[in-house]
Amino acid sequence: MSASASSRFGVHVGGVALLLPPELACEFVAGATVVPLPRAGRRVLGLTQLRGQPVVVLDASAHPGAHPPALRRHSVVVLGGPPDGAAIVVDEAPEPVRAGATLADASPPECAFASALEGAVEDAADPSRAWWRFDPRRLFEALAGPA
Amino acid sequence: MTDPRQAPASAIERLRRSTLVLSLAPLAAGALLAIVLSVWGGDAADAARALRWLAIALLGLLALAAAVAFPLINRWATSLAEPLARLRETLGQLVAGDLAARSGLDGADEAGAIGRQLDTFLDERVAALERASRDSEELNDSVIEIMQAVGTIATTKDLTMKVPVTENVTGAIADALNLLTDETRRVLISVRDVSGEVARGTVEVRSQSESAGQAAQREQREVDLAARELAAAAGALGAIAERARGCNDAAERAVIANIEAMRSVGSTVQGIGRSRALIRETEKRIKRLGERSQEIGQVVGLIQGIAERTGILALNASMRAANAGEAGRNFLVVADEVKRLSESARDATSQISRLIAAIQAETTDTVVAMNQAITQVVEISRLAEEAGVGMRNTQEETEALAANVRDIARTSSEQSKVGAALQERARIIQEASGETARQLALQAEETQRLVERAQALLGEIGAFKVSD
Repeated sequence: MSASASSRFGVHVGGVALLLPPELACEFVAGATVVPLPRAGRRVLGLTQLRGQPVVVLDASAHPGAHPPALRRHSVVVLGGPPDGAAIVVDEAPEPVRAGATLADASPPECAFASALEGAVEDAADPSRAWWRFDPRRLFEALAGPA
Repeated sequence: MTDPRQAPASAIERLRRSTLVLSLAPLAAGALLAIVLSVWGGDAADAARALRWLAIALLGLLALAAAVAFPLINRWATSLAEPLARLRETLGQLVAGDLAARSGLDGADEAGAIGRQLDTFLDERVAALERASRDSEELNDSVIEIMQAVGTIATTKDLTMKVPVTENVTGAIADALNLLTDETRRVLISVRDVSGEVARGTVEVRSQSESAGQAAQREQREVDLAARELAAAAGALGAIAERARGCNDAAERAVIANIEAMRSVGSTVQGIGRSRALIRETEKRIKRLGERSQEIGQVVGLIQGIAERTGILALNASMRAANAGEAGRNFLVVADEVKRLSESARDATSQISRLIAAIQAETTDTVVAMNQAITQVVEISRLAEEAGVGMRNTQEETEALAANVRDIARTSSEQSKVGAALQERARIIQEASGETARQLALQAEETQRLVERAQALLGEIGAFKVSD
């Protein structure tokens, strides 16, 4: 599928389809090396680097009590540029999405960052699918805060 | 008897005296003639006269001598003729059978002596004849008794009878006859016992002879059968010898074929060796091909990484272009094209990777197959070498077999000859067996006759009474 000018990109995070904000510079990194941080929050996976700049990596799918592995590679999407940006672990690479009508009555899914969700839109190509708009800052806060 | 030295002169003496007188007359005449001739020394006429005188003298002397000798000779003749006549008469009576005739001469001359000696001799001879007559009668009686006893024994065949023993010379004969009878009886008892034994033994011999005859007949049948079997065996030996010669030829052909097979096996082993070397070279090349494909895979992986990174870069570019809105539309097209290129490159590299993986898998399989082929070739080579060793062993064994077959052929030929000789001997044995059977039949007949004779002998012996 080729991306048109009206298209946007979506990504799945912890099983939740998120529609990437068009005003935010996003960059997909496949196989990013994540170095864990000691005494960090359980959804703070660690640090990675993007063109020499450290970027915090957040993991929405981290379960309570799980200890992050010592060194792993993850596919992440860097939301915003360093030093203000952060990376979130995604289930797969971003995909272009043709956003349709807003789904006003859509209930947000149960997830760690439900507070960051701002509403769902219909996928124009597949009406059965719904994409959630989100606030990146609240997403970072929800994932980086104490569990 | 008169002493001859004192008795008067006997007739012989008187005859000698007369004869002496008659013989002295010529001597005296001769002596006288010699004296006259020696004394007379005159001429022939004188001599003739002298001879006449001498002859006269001699005649006178002879007449004188005859006159003297006649009475002597007459007396002698008388004394000699009478006793001789008496003796002749006596001898005539004796010849006539008168043993009491005697000469009765008792003169002192030789005739008297002869008469006395004759009478003495006749007395002794007559007495001896009388004694001999008595002895002869007694001997005749004894002989008659012995003959009667022997006749009784011969008639009754009773050997227990005894011949009377007398004091005379026939006593020894009677003893001898009794001893002979006893010995004969004892011998007859022994003969009877022996004859019984002989009869029983003969019966047994006849039975054994019959058994022997039957055995000989069986033996003859067996010998006939053995002869036929020997003939068959000889034929079989000949066939075996022929087959052994055929086996010998086959063994020699087998040796030659085995040598050819060994050459073929050697060529096969060499070909297998070359094939193994070729397979090893092919394996090396395939391994190098695998290594090259692996290097290609690495390059493809690198290209695939580049394609993925290019795709990610195109994705990020697309996202940036989307963020740029209308201003980024053209860039978005480029980014999409780059993304398609990257996806094409990724698909191509994936396809190349699959192809390379397939090539590597096939290479691996080929290498495995080549290794298996090498293993098989090695195994085949080992088997071929073992086959070569086996063929050499087979050749040796075949040569040994051929040698044995030759020995068997030679031995079979010899056995065939021996079989023929055995057959000939079997024929001889067959003839001998037949002869034995015939001889046994004759023996059976002779034994039967012997049995009959033994029984006849027992009958004859049974006629004798040998015990009380």
